[in-house]
Amino acid sequence: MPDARDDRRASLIAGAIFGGLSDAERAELDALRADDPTIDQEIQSLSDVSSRIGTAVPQWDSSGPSAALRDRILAIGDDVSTVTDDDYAADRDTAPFGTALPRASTPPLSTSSPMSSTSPPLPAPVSLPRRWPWLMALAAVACVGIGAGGVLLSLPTPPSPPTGPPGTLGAIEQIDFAGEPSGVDIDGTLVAHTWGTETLLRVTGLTPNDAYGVVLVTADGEQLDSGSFLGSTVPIDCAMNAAVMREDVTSVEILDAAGTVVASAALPTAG
Amino acid sequence: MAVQLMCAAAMPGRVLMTDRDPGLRGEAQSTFDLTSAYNEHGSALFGYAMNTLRDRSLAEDCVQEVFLRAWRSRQQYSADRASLRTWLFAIERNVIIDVQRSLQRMPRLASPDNLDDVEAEAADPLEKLSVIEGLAKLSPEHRAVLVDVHLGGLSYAEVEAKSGVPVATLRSRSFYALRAMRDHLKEMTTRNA
Repeated sequence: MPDARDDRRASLIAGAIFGGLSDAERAELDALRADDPTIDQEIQSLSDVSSRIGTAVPQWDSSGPSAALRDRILAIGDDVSTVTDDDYAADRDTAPFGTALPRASTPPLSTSSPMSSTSPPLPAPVSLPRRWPWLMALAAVACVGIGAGGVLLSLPTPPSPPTGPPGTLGAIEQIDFAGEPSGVDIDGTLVAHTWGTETLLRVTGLTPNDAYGVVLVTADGEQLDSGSFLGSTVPIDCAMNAAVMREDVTSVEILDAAGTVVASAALPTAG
Repeated sequence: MAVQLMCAAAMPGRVLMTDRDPGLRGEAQSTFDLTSAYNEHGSALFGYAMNTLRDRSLAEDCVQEVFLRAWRSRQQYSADRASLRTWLFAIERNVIIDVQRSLQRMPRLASPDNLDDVEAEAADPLEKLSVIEGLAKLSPEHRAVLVDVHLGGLSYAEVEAKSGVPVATLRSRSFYALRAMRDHLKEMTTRNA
């Protein structure tokens, strides 16, 4: 525990940074500085931090989340385990156009549930209220922007994602699918995370309403479910997660409901 | 159990960035209690999203996504590698980046007459994200003094009059809050390098 001397030192330094020291306190600080050169370093260092905070965040919103959010989150466990076909249908109906139930199509994680030709039908997505409605709003914004003929600008202050070789946490890794049927186009990327690997897909041309699964294949041939989606007449954007680290994944495969490989992407070795 | 997150060496015993893990019970690494985890970390996670995205609905969706991902990955979580709070914030960092990446793809409508008023892009967006994450991780008391005194421009005496907390305590909180922020930003700089 910091003692009273530490607290006094802290108080004087904070006073020096933010102002408000009395004459007596200023004299006390000067005396301490004479004996302890680290005080000046601390003042300089923390002043720099203070400046960085003020520059990056001019104001802070201290409001809390709504009670409804708490209810939605506490229902996650129930929803994940009690999803029904009706839920799936409802979610499908409310999904944004061109969005194949984004991030809702991942089944409860199971690293030991490889999908094979004998697998049961693809699991139904989870249905939770108010997930990613912003995608719909953003899509609407895009349509309005183009339709109104205004000047299109990038949004301010978007963070740049990390970059690096395959396996770099948070970096987008482009992958190339091969073997897809004629008329099918699959654009895929991976993102390595601390908890697993995220697969982002844009798919067009797959048979509407047919179920497809995405699996990540490891070097020893294990197939790890990453999620499922339905073919559509419109482009599908979906994001899926699998509980396997990127460095353990050697390929990504899209399977039809019978387990037949529709397309696959071989991956480079990740560090 | 309260674990100091950022400044254990500098300030042993003092909880600055609260890091309690009620969501993990006993030694079972995969025991993830949604209620406890949300009660303990939900507000901080919301603050991170809200102050980054400046959109309440979007921020709540992000927090929901964080807990959904955590729930689905709960068996992969190991308290030996990171605290629950650190893990949840790491998930949220990626969720927010995903959201902002999506936003970045979207055009924004503006009148040609207002081009000069369009906000310029930040020099380093990751810096902003890192600062907001650090502030969100602070305990409410330590964050409040930085917000009031530094961002709000109040004097310590004015904050004392408003909150009833003595100036000496406010100053001490400022000092340790800045120290925690310094350590956090140093860690994030290393991570982003």
